[in-house]
Amino acid sequence: MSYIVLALFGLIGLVLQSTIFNELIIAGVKPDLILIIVILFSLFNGPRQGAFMGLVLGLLEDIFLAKYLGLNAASKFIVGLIIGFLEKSMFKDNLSVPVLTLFFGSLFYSTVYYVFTNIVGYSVSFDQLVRIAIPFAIYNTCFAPFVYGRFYKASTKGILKRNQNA
Amino acid sequence: MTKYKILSKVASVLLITIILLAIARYTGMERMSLSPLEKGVKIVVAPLASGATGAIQKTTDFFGMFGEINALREENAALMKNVGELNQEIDMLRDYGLENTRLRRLLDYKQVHVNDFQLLAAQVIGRDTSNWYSTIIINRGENEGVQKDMAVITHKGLVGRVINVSPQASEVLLILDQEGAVGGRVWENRETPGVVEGAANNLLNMIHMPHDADIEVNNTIVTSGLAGLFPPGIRIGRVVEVEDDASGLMKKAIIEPFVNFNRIEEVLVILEVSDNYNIQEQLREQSEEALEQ
Repeated sequence: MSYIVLALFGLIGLVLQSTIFNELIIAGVKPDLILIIVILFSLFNGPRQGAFMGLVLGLLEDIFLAKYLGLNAASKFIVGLIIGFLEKSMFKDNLSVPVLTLFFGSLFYSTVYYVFTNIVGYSVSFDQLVRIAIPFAIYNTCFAPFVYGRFYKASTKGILKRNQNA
Repeated sequence: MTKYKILSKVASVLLITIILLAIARYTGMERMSLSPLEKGVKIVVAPLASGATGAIQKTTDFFGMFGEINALREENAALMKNVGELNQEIDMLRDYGLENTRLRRLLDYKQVHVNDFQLLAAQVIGRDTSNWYSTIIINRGENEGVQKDMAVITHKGLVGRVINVSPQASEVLLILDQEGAVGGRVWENRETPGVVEGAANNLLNMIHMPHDADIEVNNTIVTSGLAGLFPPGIRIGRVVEVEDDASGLMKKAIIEPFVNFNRIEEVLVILEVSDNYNIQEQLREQSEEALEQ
């Protein structure tokens, strides 16, 4: 159930990301809604499902962009996996948790992405990484207060509540 | 968990990553066409994106209206002034035109027409979702005759080229992208070829120019047409700074594009370049060489 809901979120996120978020560019970067979804989902659902969600949403994004298919999927897969390992050790009802997770998660994502782009043959320069990564992380973090409360409720009581058998 | 289980998990994570990166590497190269899956996603997302862009446009237009009145007044005053200046310039240019026809006759060149391109208007319906590439998505595709590698322009200048096409939409790689490099040259002297590529902050760099290259601030840069992707003579941007390369052997210029890529809403795809255009370009070149001698 929660997968279908999140796939839908992913699609909506993709449309928002390619349209309205272009109006939100500050310091040359825009937030990555899909990454935010993946990070928060992993934080609640652990490495296995986190990695899966990163893979699926990343792949959807890649298919939409149709260039370097798999790059977003691989980066978000790794991020989902690593963030997922934090699931058990975090008290999720404290707002500082998602804030820090989003910040370091985004930094981590940029780094992984940078490494992968260079493996894959699209040369992103180190300068570009430095220029993008920090404002990008701060920007994503700013979304925590808006998104997190709803996410928390949905994950503990609402539509995203984890299926015990999954 | 046993050692074996942990090992097999690590191995599967590695395997998935490697497979994804392998696919990425393969698809990063320019492909002739998209797979049906990719086309499918675009067919679903393109109309949604189109609708969302329209809604955003309307809202920003409405709220922007209030803030814009002052700006419009100023702009109006500036434009009035401009009209005066331009009228003067037109008179001057008419003179040049007459002179030009005289010279052409003198050189006995065939008069060629100016209907150069067959253009298709398209609307920008989306942009790249990440911060790393510079592409836009337009609402015209295969169905309207758009093909890969076609040049995309606005009335102000060069935008980029089509990198992939689906039936109803296509993706355009902007010249701002590092992979979207273009052959350029200085319009004023028709010489000084170089390569124009994306730099930070919506600016362009023109590189690979010899250190004695004849290029100055405020020169206009146009496409050279040497690579064959873009027709020659399309305006790209204005030189804002010229500097020596780190090695001192080459010159580098920073160029401000004529097109404002943050506010790009409608573009034109060049479907076809008339043969006349290429001939005309060659003639112009020859006639100038002839005049110099």
